[in-house]
Amino acid sequence: MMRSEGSSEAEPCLGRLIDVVEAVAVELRRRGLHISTSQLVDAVRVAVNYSAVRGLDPCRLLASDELGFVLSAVFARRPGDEELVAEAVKRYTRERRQSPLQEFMRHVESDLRVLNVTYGSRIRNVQRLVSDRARAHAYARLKLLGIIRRTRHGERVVSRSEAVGIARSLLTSYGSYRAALEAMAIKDLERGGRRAALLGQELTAMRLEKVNVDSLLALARSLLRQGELSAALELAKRAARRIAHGERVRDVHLALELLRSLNLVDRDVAVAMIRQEPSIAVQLSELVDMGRIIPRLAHDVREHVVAQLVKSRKHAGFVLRLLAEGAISVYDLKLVRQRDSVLAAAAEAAQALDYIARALSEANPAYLDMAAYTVARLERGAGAAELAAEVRWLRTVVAMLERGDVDGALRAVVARLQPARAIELLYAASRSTDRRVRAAAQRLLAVVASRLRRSGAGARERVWGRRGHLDLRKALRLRFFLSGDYNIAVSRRGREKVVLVLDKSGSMRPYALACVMAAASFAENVSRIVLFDSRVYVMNVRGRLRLQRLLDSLFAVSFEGYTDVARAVAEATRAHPPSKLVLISDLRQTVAGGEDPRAAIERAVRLGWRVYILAPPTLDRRVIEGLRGVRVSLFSSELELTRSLRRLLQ
Amino acid sequence: MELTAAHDDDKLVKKVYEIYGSVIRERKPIRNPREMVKVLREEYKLIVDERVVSLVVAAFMAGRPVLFEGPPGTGKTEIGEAILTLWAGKSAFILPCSENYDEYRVIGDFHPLMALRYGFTEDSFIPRPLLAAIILDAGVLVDEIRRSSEEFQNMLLDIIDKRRIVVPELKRVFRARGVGFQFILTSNPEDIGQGELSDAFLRRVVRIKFDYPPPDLEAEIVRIRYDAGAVLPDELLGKMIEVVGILREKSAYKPGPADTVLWARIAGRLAELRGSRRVEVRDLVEAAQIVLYKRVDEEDVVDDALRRVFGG
Repeated sequence: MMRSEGSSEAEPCLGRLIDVVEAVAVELRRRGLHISTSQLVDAVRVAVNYSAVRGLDPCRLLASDELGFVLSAVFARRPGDEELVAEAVKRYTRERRQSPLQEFMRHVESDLRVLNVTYGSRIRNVQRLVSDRARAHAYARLKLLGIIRRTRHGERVVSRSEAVGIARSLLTSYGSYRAALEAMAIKDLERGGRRAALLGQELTAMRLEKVNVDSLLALARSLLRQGELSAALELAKRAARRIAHGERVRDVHLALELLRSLNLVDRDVAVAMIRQEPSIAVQLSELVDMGRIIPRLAHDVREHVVAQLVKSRKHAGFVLRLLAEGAISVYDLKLVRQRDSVLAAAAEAAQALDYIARALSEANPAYLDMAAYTVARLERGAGAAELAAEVRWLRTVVAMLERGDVDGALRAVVARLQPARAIELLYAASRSTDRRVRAAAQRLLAVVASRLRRSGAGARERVWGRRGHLDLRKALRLRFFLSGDYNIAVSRRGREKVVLVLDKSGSMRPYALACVMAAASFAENVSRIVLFDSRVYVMNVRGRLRLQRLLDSLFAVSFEGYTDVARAVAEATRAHPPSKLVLISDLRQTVAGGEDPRAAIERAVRLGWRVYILAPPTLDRRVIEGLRGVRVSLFSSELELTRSLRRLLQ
Repeated sequence: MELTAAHDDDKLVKKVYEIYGSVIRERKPIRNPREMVKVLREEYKLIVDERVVSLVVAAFMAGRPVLFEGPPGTGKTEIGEAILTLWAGKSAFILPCSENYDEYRVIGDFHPLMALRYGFTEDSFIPRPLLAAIILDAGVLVDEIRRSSEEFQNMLLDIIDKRRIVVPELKRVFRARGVGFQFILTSNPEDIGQGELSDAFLRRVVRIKFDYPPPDLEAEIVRIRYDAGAVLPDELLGKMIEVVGILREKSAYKPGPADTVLWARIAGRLAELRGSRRVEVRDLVEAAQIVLYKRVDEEDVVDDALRRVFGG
């Protein structure tokens, strides 16, 4: 393009340098970077100057990794462009430049040689052909790319002109031989992956993020059958990672069978599998320590898991041990069905508590009678000795309710329950038809909110009540003179407004309650709350945030449904001056066709928003990888979430 | 800096020398990258990769401005100023950008009262840094270019491309007199309140990315710039870098090597004030509270990092 024939003969290295820079520019254009001709000229000039001042001739510059450094300085415009440039430079400096078509055809012909066939040949006895590993790989590649086709007379290799046509069309879509092969393998995997499985180890070098976890597991299974153990292990590892991050599998039992055979079941995988299918806990209890798993589960899943473990009888002792260790409480045994044991008594106690809770929230005296009856039965039945304290407590609560002490009973019950469950109960009670129950519940909600405000406060905060910006100069001066109070806080400035975006889809249910309570209790500067699943609810806050109103809107809709993170971010930032955006979500976009959540977050950052993401461990890491200007913290418990929120909101 | 005979009849040039001559220090220009790296290290106490210096020189030779991009505290401004000074052989001009920067603030404007008396002539014209730089053939460091307006960026591009400044009010064109008139721009795209640079702008610059240095290099930077009397043991220096590394991962305010240097210096001073000849953990922790507490809501993060590394 820019090189005259003479110059190339006189300076072969310079000519080659120009060729490479030009090829890199063309490749970058294909990948979406706008490289102008003047930039191309600049790049050559800077590269030539650079090699001169470094004392390298252009050939040595081409051989070193410095060409990538020089070209990314000219071609890369945004963070992230550097990698593209480096990749392109690597590609064109590694071997003498070969056109993508030539490269494609070279690979095809080498595979044909391995199979000992030529263009137009018929393929006979495929089974015998694929019995050898190298031949199986070559056959799979040609088959995936469409160079070997099935016809009425069996399988045959296409003619050379047809092969060139196929290569051209694939290169137009995918750019290179590798990318085309990868895309075809992924397509095949979506259809069952019979051919792709023949690629064996080669699959592990492919980016298979787009392949769903079920196909990945099926592929690993198929590789295992072919004896490709290391490839199977690598793919199963990827699948296990994705399961641990919360990706759902079609058949958990089948997935467990494979992962167990490869020894890939760890705690994270177990938790994720149980979240999807609580009945699998029994099988998992042989592989992992359930004592460490159960506390990580939400209370409704926990109830199911405990019930399943008890049902399998041999685990009843184990559950009793958990009970004794405090890993579970009596009230996690609500679903346990067993006779004549302590567990049966515990289950009944849980049932009694449930009746009491209903008596409070639904203002139905029948539940109180049922609770009284259950407690009476408990007192008479076996196991009462072991659960004496619980039974006594239940009796007291029932007595309180019988004499009309709603406030006391509600307080006693709430103190026993897990926070999330307590809030649910209080919320239900706050909407009771009984005025006294309603008033008591609302009072208690305020108490719970203030406890949340205090929970997780560090020692420093308790000591240093003052908050504000550190007056560096003054503090420094005092430090030098070693005088008393060093930390001088200047007067509090107007607080930045915060927009809180909360995912209330099914996957985030365990955390949503804690988050809303925390937001309501210590967010004086929250100016907008956005709750979202596949729909988005925007609540603009004027004045003080009312807990009741927030809970009303939270409970008005159920915790289920798909997730539309991108729309939520777009709505949250609409018509609001850029400030702090706190997004609590696992970022798993399950609404198809919408904007990519990553793009939505990037746009918010470009608009000047400071984005903080709080996410559970099931977070979709692909969304945040390399995301600039965004801070991500992970939390695995309600307490951790409350702490992080406190830091961000106060 | 003194006026050469060739220009002593030009009023404006004379004025530039009168105003800026005293602040511009001349030195022998150095344009060999290897030597530049040596001088940067010895005189300016800056450790710069020879590849970076070579690329800047190559860009200057190709007539392109250089954009240093990276997180705060990584030495972009200091390195830029030093390279420009060595290249031109005289101190560089620094334009710290803000949104309302315009041509009148960087090229020149008319003194209103003098304009009333002399009219819009060279007598009432006050030359500003950019015009001074082109007349004195000095380098210009445009700091935090992303904070400036698009209009300002476009004006700069025109000047950089054509290497001349037109002052229509005076009906004069000032052309670059030598190769010393070069530009280095700095920017931190991750900072808050920054604008975007247009594609047209980015197309014309050679962009060099700055990042936090690896731990051993950062330790060397601290050692080279540490100027307190008390000895800072290597072991403690290693731990300081570990703390800074944790904060770069965890906190929203990410301390740069400049903060590490400041931390070491203050810890050294504190040790001296206590009469100690050696910096101790106590000095480092107290100095950290001065230097690393940048945001009120992140003091806990700093405390955690200090506790993790220093214990207690």
